[in-house]
Amino acid sequence: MTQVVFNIIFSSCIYLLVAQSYALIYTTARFFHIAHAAVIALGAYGSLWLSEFLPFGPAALLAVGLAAMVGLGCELTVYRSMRNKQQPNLAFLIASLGIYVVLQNLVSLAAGDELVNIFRPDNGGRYHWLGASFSGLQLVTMGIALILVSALLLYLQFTAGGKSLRALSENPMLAEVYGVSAAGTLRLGFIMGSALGAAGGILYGLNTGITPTFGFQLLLYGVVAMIVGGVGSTIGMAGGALLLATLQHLTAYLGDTRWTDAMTYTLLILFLAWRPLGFAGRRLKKVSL
Amino acid sequence: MDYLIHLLILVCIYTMLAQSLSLGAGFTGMVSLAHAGFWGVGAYTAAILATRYDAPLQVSMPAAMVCSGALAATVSFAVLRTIEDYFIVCTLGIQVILFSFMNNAMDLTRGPLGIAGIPPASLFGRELKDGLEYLMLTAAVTTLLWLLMRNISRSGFGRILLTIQEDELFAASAGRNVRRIKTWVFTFSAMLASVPGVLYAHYFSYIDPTSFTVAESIFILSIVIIGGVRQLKGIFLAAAFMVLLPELLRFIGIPDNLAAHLRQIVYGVLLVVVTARGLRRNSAGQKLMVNTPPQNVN
Repeated sequence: MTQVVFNIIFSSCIYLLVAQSYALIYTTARFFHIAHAAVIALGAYGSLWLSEFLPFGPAALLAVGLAAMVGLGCELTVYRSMRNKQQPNLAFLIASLGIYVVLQNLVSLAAGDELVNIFRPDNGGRYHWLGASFSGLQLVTMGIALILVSALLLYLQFTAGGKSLRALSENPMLAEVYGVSAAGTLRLGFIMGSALGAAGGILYGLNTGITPTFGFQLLLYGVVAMIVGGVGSTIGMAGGALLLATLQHLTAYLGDTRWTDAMTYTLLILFLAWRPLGFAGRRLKKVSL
Repeated sequence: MDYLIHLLILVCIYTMLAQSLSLGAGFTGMVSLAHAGFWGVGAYTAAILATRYDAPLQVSMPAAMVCSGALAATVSFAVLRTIEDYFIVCTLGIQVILFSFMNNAMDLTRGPLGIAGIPPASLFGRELKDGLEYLMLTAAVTTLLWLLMRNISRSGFGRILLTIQEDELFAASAGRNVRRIKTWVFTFSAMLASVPGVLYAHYFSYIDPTSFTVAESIFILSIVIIGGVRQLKGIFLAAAFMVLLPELLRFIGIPDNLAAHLRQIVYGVLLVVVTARGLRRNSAGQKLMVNTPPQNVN
């Protein structure tokens, strides 16, 4: 049982990181940036490819940087011109689906569709505590995820860039009136969100192995955590991640792992339909009629 | 020749899928990513009825439509509470749940093994023998569906749908029961999606869950978008292009495994280009999708 509790906490740390990375983009840009899934996968594959030439640490950092550039590239090449034409939200989502399909297939072409292990042999040994068994790698993963989330929160709270990100997500028009550059802040949001997402992808991949489509699944878990918890509230998102991980691991523990996805999306649909603001979130999107 | 017939049947199947999706996505503003799931429901219903009970087409076709429609009507209680991008994410969830069911309910669907040995379709005691007869049947059904869609789009009801897409509140204030109409459209669109599913199952005589994935839903949606959201002929041309594209790639000597990914890259790029150029207006200056400026309701 303690093993299940440990697994729940472990998964929810990664989900929280992904949800936070996604929320950073979603609250500033205000549309579902599905291509984020490809950015997550690119981070993991990038670290795999680069680690052939470099030690893993610098390779992962470089991969995160590259993924951030890809995320920024989406904004600069596609979204910016669409925004200038005042396209509806839906068009952004569909365009980002297209970008996702392109990037995911490029990864497939380069790396093949099979499951690849980026699991490091030096996974830090195994520890036993209160009947739960875990590897040093899992501890490091949780640590890094929590550090990244806290660092982001501090950044959002105390720096000029963070404040303009928050201003833009609170009230874009007022933010511009007070001299916050919307375009620049959006770019910042895409860079930081993509970097954090790629970091989440690497951490997830280190523990489970990766396929070109794993980013989509991980992103959707993050989106579920974000919507369940409520957009824009980190405490809420942490609760959402915890709820999601609990549901998944309990399904696997009491029933069958095959049904975890079905349970995850049932949770998503129930929340979207009846509590679209999450259990902690502020109002961000209307539900009509 | 057989090969050409095979491709034409595929074109017809994807035309039906995309046109039935455009009823929701193009006319009513409900862009759904669950279409491949409902297509799969149709295919599985026909496969199970045909392998276990030897059901002829005149039984399995209505049965598949009822199954798919009943499912859609049930989930519409939850799905239709959301709009626009939340609606897409919600239907994406439906799609994953449907796929998960096809992949895991071993007793009913045999899971990843799929259902093999589906007998040829029989219609009023007459069994369809070869590809040509299948093509004739599929083409006939496609034509019927096309005419139905055209009539709906030109009818007063089609205008009501457009009004709902433009402004739900206005449609409601003009005395229309928006909720009921949207439920009807979502259900009907899912019912129509099951029709090509039935034909698909009988024609291939083998189905497995990998044909009905999220990627397939995105593919059907991209046919609708690339063809022009409400242009039935455009959708047909886009379906033909998309189905023939891998053959074209193979023709210029690209190996199969590469061609599958290249095809997806091509339609991904097309999707981005078409949407980035503007969904809002077509050449005639008509509005294609509602423009809702991003807003923050505090």
